[in-house]
This record gives sequence, structure tokens and C-alpha cells, in this order.
Amino acid sequence: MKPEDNTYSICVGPVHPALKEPVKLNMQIDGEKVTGVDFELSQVHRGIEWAATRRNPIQVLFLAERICGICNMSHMISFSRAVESIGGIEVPPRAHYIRVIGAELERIHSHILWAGVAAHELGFDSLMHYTWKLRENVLDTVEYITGNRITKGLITIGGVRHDIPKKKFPRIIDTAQFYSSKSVRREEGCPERRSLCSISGPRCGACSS
Amino acid sequence: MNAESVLKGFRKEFGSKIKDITIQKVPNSLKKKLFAERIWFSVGRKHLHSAVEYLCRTYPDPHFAVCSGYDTGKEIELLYHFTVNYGVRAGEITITMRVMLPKNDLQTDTITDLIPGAIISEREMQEMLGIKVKDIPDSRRLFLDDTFPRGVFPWRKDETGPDKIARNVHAARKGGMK
Repeated sequence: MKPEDNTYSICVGPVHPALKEPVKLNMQIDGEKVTGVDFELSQVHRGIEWAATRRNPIQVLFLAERICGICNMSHMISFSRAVESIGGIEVPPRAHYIRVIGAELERIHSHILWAGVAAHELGFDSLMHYTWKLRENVLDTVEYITGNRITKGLITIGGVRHDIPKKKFPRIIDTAQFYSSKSVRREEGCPERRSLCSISGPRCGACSS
Repeated sequence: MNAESVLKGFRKEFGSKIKDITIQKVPNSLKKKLFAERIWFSVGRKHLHSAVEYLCRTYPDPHFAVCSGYDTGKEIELLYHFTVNYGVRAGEITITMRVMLPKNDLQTDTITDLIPGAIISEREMQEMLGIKVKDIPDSRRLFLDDTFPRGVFPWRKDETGPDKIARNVHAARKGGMK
């Protein structure tokens, strides 16, 4: 019997409990092995690029921010850097630093979010809740600096929309120290890491380090 | 390796077939000690495939980011964005190949035989700009739904554009306020 004869296809989506966003995946399965996949993406095409051609750069900045909720800062920075590069606009050093602070805080919350999602996909929801609880600290700091938890609107073309005053520095330093401390990494972040490793084997060894 | 040496290789291989060459140096750090280099040039559509082939042959795994397209009026401009030295800090060199296609003959060659992942971009160009990519392995729609009308290309700014079917939000709002 040829190996092709054993394959069967499973169609997942466009709306499915295991999917975070709509996509239709038509998978060819041979036993436990996925041998091929075909996908359809058309369910969530929002036409942002089309809308952007009919707006001015400042309006597009906020449109770009809404490409993705988790990583909105990267889209805003990319767009404003593109406009600055075209127009030869110089960004002041302090604005560069504030951009980096914003982007780094976003990186922390984004990585923790996906660590939680990974735990959720393994069927380990209690770890997801622990990691997302850990994420609250950085989100609160982002809110303290910018006024919003997710869509910060911190960046504009040629700089940033508002400064971070000196009185807000200690909170940022506290947050950075909170996430770099080993106790957070070992205890709060992954309280049941042994059981997680025993569930999914050596591939999950990275979480114990 | 720097932008000049990359461009020198292209000049040697293609001579006058590549035109409108621009090299940009963009500061990559606050103190302006590190720079990102960008190369832009135009290439005829006959030579696009061989230019990409040369790139793949000369540099290990050139990174193909995306192919962007723009309706300039009489022509459609395709920009193939590549990066060599991908992931090297302050060592990335971006190469952008510009291909101009006249609107009465919107055809270009596929590069999926060299870079299989380019199919996403090529399918996008087909549906968004109405370009025919020759020998494309899969010519179905990608981002547009099957119910979207045929012969309407969202990125075009001429009569085949989507303005007829689009709702003008600003005008609708203005009308509502009267």
C-alpha cells in the first residue's frame, strides 16, 4: 500500500475553538503526522493598506497601530521610521530613548502573553493564568506612563507624543527589576514547571532554566 | 561585505541592464556609528528572474521580505525587497529591485522556483493589482474572498480600482450631519 493511501484530511476553521483568529486550514494527515497543509486567509483581510492610501500620515499612524493589538508599537515605529526616512526628519535623542522604553515594555508583555498562550495550548490553563497575572505588572506600568494598557499611541512622526517625566522613572525601574529578578522567573512564572516538563517531555526543558 | 561590493557584483553580471541605482546609508544607532545600507535599482522584467537567480547563487539564503506594488498611473511598479546578511546587526544590506510593468501588458515571471515563499506575495500581486504572474504554481486568491467581484483590483487607482464598490465614509458622515 502506498503511503498516500493512508492520508486523510482534516479541515480546521475558519472558526474553531483551537484557533485564536480566523483561518481555514486544510491539513493532510498521515497517522499523527501532518504531511501537507493548505490555507485560506481571506476571512480577516481588513484592507488596511487600502485605507492607508486615502488618509494623511498622522491618521495612518493610528491605523498602523491597530494592525495588531499585542505588537502595536512595532507597527507604529516601523511606519513613523519609514515616513522619517522619506522626509529626512531627524528624531531627537530623548524621543529615541522613550521609544525604546515603550518598545521594551511591550516586548516584556508580549513574550509573557505568548508564554501563557503556549501553556494554554498544552492544556495547562492554570499556568496560563499565572503567567498572565505576571503580565499585569508591566501593563500597569504602561498605563502609568502612557494612559493606556495596550494601544499606547506613544509615537508620532518625528518623535513621541509625550515625555516621560522624572517622577515616573522609579516605577519603570521597579518593573524592570521585578522582571529581571530570579524569583519571578522561577517561582511566580512557572510554579508547576516540573509537572509541565513531565507532561510534555524534554522539549519543555527550556521553561525550567 | 558592503553595499558597494554587492552592487559591483550586480554591475559585473548585468552591466547596463540595471538602472537608476541609489545607495542609501541610514544611521542604525543613536551615535551614528553604525549604518544600515540600502540598495535600490531598476531591472527590466526580462532580467528579473536572472537577477534573483544571481542573488540566490551569490549569497547564502537571501531573505525575501515582500513584493510591494504601486499604481503610478500608466505603469505599475513592483518592488522586490531582499536582504543579504539577514539578522547580522548593522550588517544587513537591503536590496530593492524595481520592475515597471506597462498597464497594457501586466505580466511578469515567477520567482517561486528560486524562493518558494514568494508565492504569498505573487498571489497578492495577482489579486490586488491584476498582474499575471507566468508559471505561478498556485494562482488562487489569497487575501480576497471568493465573493469579491472579479476584475476589481483594490490597489489600482484607475477604473479597475475599488472606488465604485467602496463606501466613502467621510462623505456618508458629511451627508448625515446635514
